[in-house]
Amino acid sequence: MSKIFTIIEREYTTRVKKKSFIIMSLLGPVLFAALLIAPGLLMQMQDTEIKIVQVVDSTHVFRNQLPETDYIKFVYTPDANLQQYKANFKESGFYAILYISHNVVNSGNAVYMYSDKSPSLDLRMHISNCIEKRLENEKLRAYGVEPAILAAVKTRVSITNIKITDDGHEERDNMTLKMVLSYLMGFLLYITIFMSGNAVMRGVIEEKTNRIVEVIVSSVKPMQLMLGKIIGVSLVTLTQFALWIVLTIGLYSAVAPLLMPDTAKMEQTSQLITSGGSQIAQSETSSNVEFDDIKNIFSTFESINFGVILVTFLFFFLCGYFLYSAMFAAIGAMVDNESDTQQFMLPVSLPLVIALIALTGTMSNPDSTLNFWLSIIPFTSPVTMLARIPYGVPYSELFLSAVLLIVTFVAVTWVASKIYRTGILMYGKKATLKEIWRWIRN
Amino acid sequence: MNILETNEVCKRYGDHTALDSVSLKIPEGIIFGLLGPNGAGKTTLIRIINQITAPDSGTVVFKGHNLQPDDIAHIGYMPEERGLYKKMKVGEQAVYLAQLKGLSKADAKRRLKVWFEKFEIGEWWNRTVEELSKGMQQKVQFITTVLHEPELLIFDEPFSGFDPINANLLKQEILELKKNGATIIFSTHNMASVEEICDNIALINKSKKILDGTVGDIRQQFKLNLFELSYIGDAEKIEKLIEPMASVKEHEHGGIGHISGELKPGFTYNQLLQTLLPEVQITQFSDVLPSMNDIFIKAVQNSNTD
Repeated sequence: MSKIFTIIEREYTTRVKKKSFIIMSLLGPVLFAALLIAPGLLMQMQDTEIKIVQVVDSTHVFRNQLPETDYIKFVYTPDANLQQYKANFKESGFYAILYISHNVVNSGNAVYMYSDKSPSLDLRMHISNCIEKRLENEKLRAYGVEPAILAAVKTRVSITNIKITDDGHEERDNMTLKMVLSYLMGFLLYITIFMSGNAVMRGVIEEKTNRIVEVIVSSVKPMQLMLGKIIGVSLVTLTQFALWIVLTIGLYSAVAPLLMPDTAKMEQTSQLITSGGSQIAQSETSSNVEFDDIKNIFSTFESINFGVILVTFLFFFLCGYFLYSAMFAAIGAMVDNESDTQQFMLPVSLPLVIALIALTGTMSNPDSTLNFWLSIIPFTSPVTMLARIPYGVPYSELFLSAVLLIVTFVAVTWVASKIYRTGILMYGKKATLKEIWRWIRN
Repeated sequence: MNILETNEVCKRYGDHTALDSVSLKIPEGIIFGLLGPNGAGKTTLIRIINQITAPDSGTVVFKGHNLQPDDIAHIGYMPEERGLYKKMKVGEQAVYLAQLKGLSKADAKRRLKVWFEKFEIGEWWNRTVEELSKGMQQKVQFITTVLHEPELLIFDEPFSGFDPINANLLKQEILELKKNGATIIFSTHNMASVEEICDNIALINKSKKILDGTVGDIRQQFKLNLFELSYIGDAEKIEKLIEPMASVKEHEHGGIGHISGELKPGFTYNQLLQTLLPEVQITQFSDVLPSMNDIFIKAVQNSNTD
């Protein structure tokens, strides 16, 4: 038994010491942290410039009526002498001149913006929204609708998903977050199973082409060598995950405050939201839609059981990986060089690819019949089940899927080891399917 | 005492019979040559002894008990298809292979230092294998085979791929191992090396053992009663004397005459010499034994025609 540990140790240390592993471990967190920080950083960069827009309003309807924001300010001209303001534009220092012509009541194409730069989308959206709203109000008022009625009629709707759990509890639900999580989990599992499985296969081929394999199997059983390799590679992958998570969190918390001082404030807010949920619930108003969304996300975060996710992720990753890497090890033993693997790789990895293709469907409709079966059938279940997990899967289904996966992986490993132990000692020829069938029967 | 015995070992791959009831007895402390043409079943037998494959029937007895997994700690094997991890450091790799044979890390390191010094490759400890010359790789390969001081060593075609200098070094080391009490099984079709270093041989052809015994006995068994004779005297007279008992194949006249001939059935060398001694002065007489190469070819041809 101690020999299998010696093999695991070698498989692990030689891979962890490789340059490619170290580069991947360092580059990954930089990329992840950049992905986390970049959107916030970009938003900040956009908004920091204060834009003062000179409004030349020939209708006089909009005077002092356009709402300002932190970064968009309006200055209204006393008259509508556009030519004069245009001539003085350079010296005036305004960001742009907004000209609203008389026609604006009848035609949508009556608003013009003059500037020496291209006004940002934000600015244009803000102005057109405000003008539309103002016109709408004015027109309604012209038809005799009272402002009070107007205010009462307007309601903005944001849907709050409430999920009724098996034991009758109600939980807030945020579909977007779950979809992202679902896709990420399924995809991550697909990628890691594929990559680590490939690493196992290349290891087997390396031993075969280096002709060291016969030396080793005179000391240990082929099964020990195969399992040692598979376990060693899985530990390498788990180490990589752990490094990515720790380094990403470390990098993010070190760099984010420097680049985005606002995040500290945001975190405070989020704490406020999560801790004082009830307080906020009382002050729910229709105007607070954005704030509602944030609250929704946070409460969804609370409703997602990360413990279950972590456990199921580890379980389905390990079992799925063992299942496929045993098959990949057998493929490695069947061939004499890497270019011969293609014809075997395709049929073996097909179920995994199908699960990946179905993944977009899985995340939008996790409980459909197709996705139910995909998450039960052992060859696709690791990817599909993981994608279903964020939405919540009944324990009975989870249990059925897990048991089937374990049974299959034991059976497949047993068959694979039979192919493996004969295949590794075949030099210079590619096995035919008939021969492989004989190896399995023997 | 026999260190290893195989009893009626059979192995089949599909329709192909690799070994057909092969029984061998290998006494302790000898160099045993396992001979046979390519594809005869030598490597299959060796893999069975190393427990890489299991026989379909028959038993292998090692030091008096049926072969069991722990026995690999006492067996060293250098396969015909051999190699090392190219990207791994030489020292680490040698320690790893020794650990797989059951040595502790510290023990393996200590023994390796001695061997590396002996073979003058000490400074290569921290280099990767791919940086080593072929000859040095073979030295490392040999060291990893013998490091755990096995009682039984198995070399499958040991000289293939070795340059003459390293081949000679290997031969010296093998003889040294024998002197220190190890038993060596030596699989080859290089007959010259067999005559030089083997004590016993077994010849396998088409999955069957067709011949075994000590090298001396086998050469006696295959001898064709050929002799060589040097004399001083009358050439015609001696031919006449020899005629009834043996046929003369070559005859060189001169100051000293040389005859090579073959004894006829029913006569002995002693009878021949008794006839000749009163008449001519014999300066040299020797029995010519067939070379192992001749025996090998003859035995294989005989078994193929059977």
